[in-house]
Amino acid sequence: VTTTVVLALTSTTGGDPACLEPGDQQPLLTRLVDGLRPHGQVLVVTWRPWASSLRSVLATHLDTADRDPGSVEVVAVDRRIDVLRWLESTPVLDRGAGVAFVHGHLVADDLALSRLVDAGAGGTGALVVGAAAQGAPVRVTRGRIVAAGSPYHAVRHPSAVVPHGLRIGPADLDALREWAGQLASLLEGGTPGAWRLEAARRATGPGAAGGEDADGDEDAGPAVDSTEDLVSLLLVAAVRSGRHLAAIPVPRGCVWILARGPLAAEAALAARRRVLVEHVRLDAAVKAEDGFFTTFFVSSYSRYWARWAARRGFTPNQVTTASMLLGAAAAAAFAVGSWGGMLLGAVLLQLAFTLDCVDGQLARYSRRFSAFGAWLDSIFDRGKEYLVLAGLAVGGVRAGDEQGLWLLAGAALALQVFRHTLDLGYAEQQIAEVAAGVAQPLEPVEDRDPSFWEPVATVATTTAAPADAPTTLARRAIGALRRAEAVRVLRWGKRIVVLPIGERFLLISVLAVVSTPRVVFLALLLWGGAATLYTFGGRLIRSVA
Amino acid sequence: MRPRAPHRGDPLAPHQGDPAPHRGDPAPHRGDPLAPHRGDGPLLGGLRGARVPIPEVALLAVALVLVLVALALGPGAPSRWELVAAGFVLAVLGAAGRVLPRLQWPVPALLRGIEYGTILVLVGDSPWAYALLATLAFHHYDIVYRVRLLGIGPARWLERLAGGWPVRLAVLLAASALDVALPASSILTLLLAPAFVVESVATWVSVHRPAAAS
Repeated sequence: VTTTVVLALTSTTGGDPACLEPGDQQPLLTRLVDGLRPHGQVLVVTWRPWASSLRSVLATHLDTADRDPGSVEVVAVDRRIDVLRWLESTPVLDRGAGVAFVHGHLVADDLALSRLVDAGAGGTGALVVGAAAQGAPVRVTRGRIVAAGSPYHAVRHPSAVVPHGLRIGPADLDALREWAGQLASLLEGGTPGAWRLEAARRATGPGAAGGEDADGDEDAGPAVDSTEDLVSLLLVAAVRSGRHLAAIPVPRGCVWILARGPLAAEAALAARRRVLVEHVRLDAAVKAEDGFFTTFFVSSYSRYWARWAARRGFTPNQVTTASMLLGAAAAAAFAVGSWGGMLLGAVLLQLAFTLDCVDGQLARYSRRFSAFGAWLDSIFDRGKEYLVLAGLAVGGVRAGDEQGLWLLAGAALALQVFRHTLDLGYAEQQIAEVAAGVAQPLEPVEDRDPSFWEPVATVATTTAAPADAPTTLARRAIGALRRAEAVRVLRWGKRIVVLPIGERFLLISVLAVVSTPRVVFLALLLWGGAATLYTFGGRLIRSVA
Repeated sequence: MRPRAPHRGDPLAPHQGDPAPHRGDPAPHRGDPLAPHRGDGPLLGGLRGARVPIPEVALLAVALVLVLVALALGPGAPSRWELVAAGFVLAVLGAAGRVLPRLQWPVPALLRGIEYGTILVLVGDSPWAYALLATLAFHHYDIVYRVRLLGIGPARWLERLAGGWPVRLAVLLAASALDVALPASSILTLLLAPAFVVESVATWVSVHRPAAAS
């Protein structure tokens, strides 16, 4: 279960609670509460003058819906700092459930909400969306938020935005108390001067996001919506504490809109009605970053297999196992050595690969994740590939092409292990180095410089980043390469060049049919070797540059 | 149970599109995040930190080049054994070498390349060479994914039995000098394959609940 803290602190320009819009219809707040209650308790934090009207709205709604009113509570506060003090001391945090933070004037569909508050989601993290959205700018590396901004904190090279959706896992509840305490003591005597200056600089600077201090909270910096900064302040405190914060992408097509005022609320509700839940859910099951062949020629239909499997009640591990069995059958067919065997093997291998995509999509679609499932999937992926290489070697030898064939098969295997281990090594070192650099004090406005291990975003975001330091020639060359990455064709080209698994399996299937196992091995070695030099060379240059 | 996005495709790619697995903070192996992936076995500990002025990664790269040259020379070439033996010595010396902070990441891959390449040189064009490579590959991938997903490395008894790459290569080099590389590799395969599988299964049984859940 997840306890959700709904911050109903934002007002419309008219000074009314934004969460009670739009006028005559069902207010945003009760819709939101309805979406959250199945996941656990809901605590609505609001200004004291608004508390009674919110209570009555909620009570009426829960009453007519005939639901347990105890699962929703209203907490009244007088000042922004009271919210932090309340967090510091509330016994709610002792119950062992994770805590999520959202705003009361949020309009979100159930899929997006469940990404944040689903109990299976587990650890600490924040929702992220593309750069254009409203929220706190963040820098993300390998799925981890490594720097976060607030109205008072800058982020260098932001790569995404957290649209005021934060989740603290059960393991970090004590830390949450600490962060709240830290923030409270920093804000004790009003917003620190440096923070005020930063907020003022942004409000007056070019491209400043408008937002007014509408509730007359004297703690707030100038021209900042003081109520919207609480989630981002907690986010900054969490990130700068050095704890691990996962970046949880809001699935494409989902609605997650902060609607302030009656018109915005109407528009957001209309957008929510238009969400094709089934479509979005299926889309979200497909891995965002994948190879060219996989994305355009396999995932386009494998997703429907995944949905079918989900409806028939198959588990991801069953699909994974079926894929491995098909791969073994492909290896056996290759081992026959005849052209018919090669053809059958090629078809079976492609089928096995499709199921290989299906298992992950099924897991994401039905939200059935397990460490064992991930392990089984990975081991069977590799097992399939190396079994097929052995099958091809047997088939080639039986077809009379003996000389050095097992050596070539072994070399192809060794090269693939070498490539995977290079990738692993880079990822592990990058993750560890980035983790070591995340922690920093909460007071400074400025962000630290991204370390060498944090790839800087290719696309400029709304928040102006400070100009780059003078660069060496090598860095400039890398910068040019990065800009080139924005070109779509080149990006897909680069993904094909590195010979990902889909392309590898396709290469094996096609060459086995039109040629011989020897040619398959030679092609894997040549292409794989070139891909190794490309990836390895680039990273090596960056490592020493 | 730790939630985890099952991943398809290249296993080590970042898992974008899904919540990343929570990794314990701070990193379990500060200083050398790659330590659990080296597969040195129990023997190289004494060499660590001997502060030879040459970087480890350079020693390993030269060793890999020697192995690749031996491999390229092809069967029947005269000095192949000497080349891979020299590569082996350099690789072992690597453990005493200096650590370049930014270049730790290629080390596990270089070790894999040296071991697998040496096996191909010594055992050569035989299904047994492939079988031994596949056995080792299972073990190496198993450890990679287990460390990532569970934070559990190989059991002590397995480390002693499998010896790590230095012991395996020393055995194969000695066997090759006595002209029994092929039988040695088959014995090694038949010994290691069941051990690797049994140890992996035992690990998953001991953390059984995730398996039962799906």
